[in-house]
Amino acid sequence: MSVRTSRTLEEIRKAIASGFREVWGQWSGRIGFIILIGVIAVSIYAVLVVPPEIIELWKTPWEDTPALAPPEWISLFGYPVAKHRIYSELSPQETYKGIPRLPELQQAIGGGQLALVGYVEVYRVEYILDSDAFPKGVTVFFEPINNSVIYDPARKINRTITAAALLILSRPDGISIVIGTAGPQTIESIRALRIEPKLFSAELAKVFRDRYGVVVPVEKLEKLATEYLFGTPGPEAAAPLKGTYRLTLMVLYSGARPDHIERAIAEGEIGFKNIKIIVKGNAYGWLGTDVKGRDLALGVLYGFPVALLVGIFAAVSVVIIGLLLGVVSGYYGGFVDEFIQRLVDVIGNIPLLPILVLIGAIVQGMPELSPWHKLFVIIGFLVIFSWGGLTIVVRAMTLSIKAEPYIEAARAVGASNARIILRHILPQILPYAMASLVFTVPSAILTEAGLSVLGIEHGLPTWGKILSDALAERGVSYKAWWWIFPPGAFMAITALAFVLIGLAIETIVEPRLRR
Amino acid sequence: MVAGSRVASILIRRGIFLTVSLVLIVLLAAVIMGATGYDTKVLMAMVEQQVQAYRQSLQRQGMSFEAIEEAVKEYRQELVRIYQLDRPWYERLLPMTIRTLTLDLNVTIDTVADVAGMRLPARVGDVIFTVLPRTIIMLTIAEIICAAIALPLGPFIAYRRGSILDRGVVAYAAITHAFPVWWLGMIAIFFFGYQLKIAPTNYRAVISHINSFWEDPYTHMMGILYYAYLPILVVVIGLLGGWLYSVRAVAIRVVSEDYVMVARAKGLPENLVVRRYILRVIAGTVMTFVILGLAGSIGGFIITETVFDWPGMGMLYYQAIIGGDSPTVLGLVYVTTIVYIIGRFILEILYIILDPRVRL
Repeated sequence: MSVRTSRTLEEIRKAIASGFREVWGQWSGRIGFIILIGVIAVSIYAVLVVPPEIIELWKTPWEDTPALAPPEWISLFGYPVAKHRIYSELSPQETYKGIPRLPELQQAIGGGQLALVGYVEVYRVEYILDSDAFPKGVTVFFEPINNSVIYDPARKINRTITAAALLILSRPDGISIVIGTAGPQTIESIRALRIEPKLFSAELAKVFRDRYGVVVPVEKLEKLATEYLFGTPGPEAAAPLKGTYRLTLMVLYSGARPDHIERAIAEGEIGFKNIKIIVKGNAYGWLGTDVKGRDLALGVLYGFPVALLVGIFAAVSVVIIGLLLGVVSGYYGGFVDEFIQRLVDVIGNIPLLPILVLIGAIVQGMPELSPWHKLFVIIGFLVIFSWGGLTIVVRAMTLSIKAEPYIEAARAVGASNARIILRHILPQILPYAMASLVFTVPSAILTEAGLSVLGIEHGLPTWGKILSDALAERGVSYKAWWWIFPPGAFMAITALAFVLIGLAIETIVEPRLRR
Repeated sequence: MVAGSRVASILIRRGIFLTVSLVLIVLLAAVIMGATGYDTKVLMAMVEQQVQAYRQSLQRQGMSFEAIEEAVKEYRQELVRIYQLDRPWYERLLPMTIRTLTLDLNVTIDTVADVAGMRLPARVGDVIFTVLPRTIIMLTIAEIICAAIALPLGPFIAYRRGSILDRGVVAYAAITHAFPVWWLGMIAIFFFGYQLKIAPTNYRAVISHINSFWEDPYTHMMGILYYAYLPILVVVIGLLGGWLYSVRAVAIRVVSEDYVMVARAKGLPENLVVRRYILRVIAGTVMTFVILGLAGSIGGFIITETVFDWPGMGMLYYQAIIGGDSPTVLGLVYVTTIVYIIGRFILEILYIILDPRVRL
């Protein structure tokens, strides 16, 4: 028994090896395999690299990234790129008890308002603008410790600490200005600080008039705030001002005696776990971002394993069903044959895509299903409506093989039906089934992508989903080539790998196509 | 005479089978929408919407709270009865199917009627036949162009297999098979619409040209051309590879037959060999491609039409499915299947004409 099994395995191995060699021997097969290996490698890389919470991540807009930014490498082609910079895990350079006598602060606001401040932390970062482009904005994100109350041992009561933050931009030309504030609030409710044009537009307009002799209307300055902050004012618009910018973030605590606050912060009782200053560039990452600021490289990368899974799962299922029903239909004949063939007729007449859209629309409205469930229900229906063509061909092949004398001989020797099917019929049909399998993969991938483009949501970020988002934002996305091209191109390349391999196999199984 | 009755019996049998499968498909679509609760959910939402509107109108009249509640309750029950929501879905199935087969249905969602540029109330039949010409202008014409190029060229390439032309066509077919037409559409809109600005970026405006075509055929013809040339071009580029490849594959099997070899050896001119010895033999198979391709195009390309925002059959399908307008979905399934089945029937007749063996 074991001898026979090993012999069969050896035969299968040899068959696969020689099949591979034949496919490799053709130019289309070779190119197809090379692309496929690349796609598989990228898929493995994606599984390892993409964070598992990507599904959740993709549903929300991203705040750390510039929206609708092209990829960074376009700077290689001479496109001016203001770098994207994230300053994270910052620790204060200086701390003060009371009001600090800092020149920037004096220039920016003058004293007075901050009389009640107890303790001040100062964070400084530098941003170098070295090309003719404007950054897209500046944002600070705070991750506060979830507590605002400290104990005052002297008076034996709890005190609530409030905090405020202000961000000062010092430009290469010496102008310093407060560009945003947060608070005063209890510490734990301070989350973000953004540029507030209303805060500085009047002031900046005045400074520009004094310094550059250019009058910029305040409304215009408010509208194009970021550009004027990082530029010199011209008669029409701002021009990027290159050089080193210093960003000074002051976090002002009040509500208790300075040394109490200082100690509480040092002991990690109150304060911020992380402060992140982000200067948003006008370009981002390998593949840029979409209108919600999501890193397209991440979505495109995640699309690889999903597409492979969808394509291979669908193709293998279709081929197994088609092969099984086709052989049964051809070999046993009679009522079974009639039934299967009429089933094929009905299924073959059903318009596939509308039915899938309908099913997708139904599945979409079932919140109890997880994204993967939804995806596989849709693919399952794709399979249900796709096996007809293969069954017809397999049946025809089975019929002709069945009529061969050696089948009769095998039956005369006493071989069972199962043995005849497995040993004599299936091996002859398998190469054809392989071709069909390989051709089904791209159709499944493209169909799934098409359904996503129509807005059928299963919740996974796939190539189709990215393109669907692009279509939903027609007016914007058609100006962003990096949003439209890469997902479609990678999809087409993946599909192409299978098409090419399929062409090579087809040439082998259909000798008349051979030259 | 014997042959005649044989042909007739074949045609009648096929005709009956195709009609039965037509009814089955409509029934199946109705079952899918009924059994999954899709239908009920949508109808319930509509009932609630109408009840809300009714309640508001009563409130404006200044009726007392109890009277309003009473009237609203009655109104809801009446609506439930009208939509037959008080019965299980399988009891609604048969009446729905029969009404679909007679096209006696009304559109229920305004976004669906909007595709045809109509307002509720609209009949499903009217909506479908309003959008049908738009799909024909874009997709059926594109299919015809593909067929017109592929039919003569395919055998010609098969005749010269292995040549650079042949390899080029195979590579072209492989590439376009992997590139979805709708993505080519997005790329084309990006380049020709937004970058070069030589094609429209908004295709909905084609409606006005089609609707008022007969008032000034020449101007509107040019208008339609302006809107349609890019979609047609994209669809032709996307589908031509598949067409060429299929026709070539069919022709190659014939080219290697002995009698073609003999014809070539005799020194018959290539044109004659292709026309008489190859085209005639493959005519049946090729006609299958043509008829089924044309029939398939009537249903619209849902995704490609969505990409171009082209208000044709595909768009109607899409809006109807997404909006949950089951009468329109059923109507569309019915009409597209009828066209397909008529195509199949025409094929049966063509086979008999083209293939003398069937008549024997």
